[in-house]
Amino acid sequence: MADEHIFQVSEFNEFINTYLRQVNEIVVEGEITEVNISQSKWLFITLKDAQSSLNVFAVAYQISAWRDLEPGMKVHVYGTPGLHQKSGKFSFNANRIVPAGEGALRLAFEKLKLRLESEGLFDISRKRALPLFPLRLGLITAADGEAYSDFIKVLRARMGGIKIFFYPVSVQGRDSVSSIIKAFRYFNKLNNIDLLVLTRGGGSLEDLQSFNDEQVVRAIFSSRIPVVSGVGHERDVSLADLAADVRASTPSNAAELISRSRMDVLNQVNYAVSTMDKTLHSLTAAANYRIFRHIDSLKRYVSAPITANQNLLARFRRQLDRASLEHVRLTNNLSFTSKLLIKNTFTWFRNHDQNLLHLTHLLTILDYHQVLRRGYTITSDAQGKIIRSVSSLTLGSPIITTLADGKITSTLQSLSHDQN
Amino acid sequence: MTKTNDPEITKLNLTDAFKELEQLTAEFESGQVDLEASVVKFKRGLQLAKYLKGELDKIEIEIEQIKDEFKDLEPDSPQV
Repeated sequence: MADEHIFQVSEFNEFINTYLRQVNEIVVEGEITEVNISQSKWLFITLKDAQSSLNVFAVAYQISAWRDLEPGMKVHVYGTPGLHQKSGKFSFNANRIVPAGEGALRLAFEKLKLRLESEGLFDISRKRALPLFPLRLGLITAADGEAYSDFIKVLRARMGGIKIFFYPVSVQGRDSVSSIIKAFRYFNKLNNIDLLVLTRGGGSLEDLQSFNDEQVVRAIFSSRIPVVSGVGHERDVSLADLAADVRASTPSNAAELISRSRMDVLNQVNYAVSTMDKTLHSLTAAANYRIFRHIDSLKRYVSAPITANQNLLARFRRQLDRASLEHVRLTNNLSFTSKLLIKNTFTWFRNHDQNLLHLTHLLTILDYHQVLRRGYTITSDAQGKIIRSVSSLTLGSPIITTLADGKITSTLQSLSHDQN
Repeated sequence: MTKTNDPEITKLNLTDAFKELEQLTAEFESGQVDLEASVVKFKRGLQLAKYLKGELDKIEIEIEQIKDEFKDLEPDSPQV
């Protein structure tokens, strides 16, 4: 036994670990009996089944939702075995701990949901509106899955001209969570993606576990690009759905929600054109009517003085006509009167001419010189007064006798009266 | 419809074009447009409608799968 190798304790621990490291990651199922956290960093969990128990060690931040782990919960622990170098205590070093079985999953789901809810990850007020027409979208789902083909089929039927950047991920299983998170990280580094779609078909709560994973939920919540999730069937609601900006019930529904139907848009465009057209028509008609009214009142405004002038002119014309009739009448009258006057004048002249002749003749006849020439004389007193009676005479008074060719002055010497 | 599309309109993305058309429609519906402005707006609306209809005629959807070798890259622009 001289050659027998004596191990030092640390050497022994190291030796054992060399063997243990050859074991790849394995999954151990068991029920948690105890959970302890040390310095907020190290997790010490005790697992057991009906016969045995196992110490599990983990770094807290590597285990999503470690806070929700509690005694009584059935879990699957993904990890590798190892010996603690210092203490020599054997432990199972966990990389991932996930609830196992429907009951545990349900419990873990509810606990995580409550916690994330209280953190505000599901707040409605934080939801972003989707772009009306997303043209470049990132699709995160499994390659060759039903979700993929349903989504593309419905999208294609509704709207074209869209570019899809498809990032294939595992939607269940051990790499699922990390691949989904990588996809989010990838797209969020791009700067021209309008929308992300995270989708998968239906399954059991266990199948959908990645979509209830805290890290995935946080990746959705912190995505710079709006996220639409469509996970499972209509009745399945995952935490991913709750954190997404828009929750679709299925992959097909996700396509419906993000793309407007071509027909709807076309209808709206047509409606817009017809509304504008109608409004423009009624505006034109109203303007026409206003112009017509303006022209009409302008016409009235202009025609009023014209009409007044025309009336005045007509009145004037009537007066003129009347005056001219009067003129004719007067002219006629005048002409008649003139003629009459002339005629009368002539008559008058003629009459008077004859009278004159007659009178001239008469005068000639009556002229006392003629009488004197016939031998008659006129006796007058000294004053020139004609002596018509002897009785006015006194003897001795001068008398003047006028003859045809001169005068005789005599002194009265005798008087005698005629008897008759 | 207008004969040619304003090049400025074709630069719009569908969302902006659609929103602008919706806004124009709302203005027309409200009756708060005067005739002169509405003629200009009507012309703009027709151009937007034509552009949108043209875009709606596009049917193909392009799908590009992100290759594994690019997944771990940190792209500045989508070299996918």
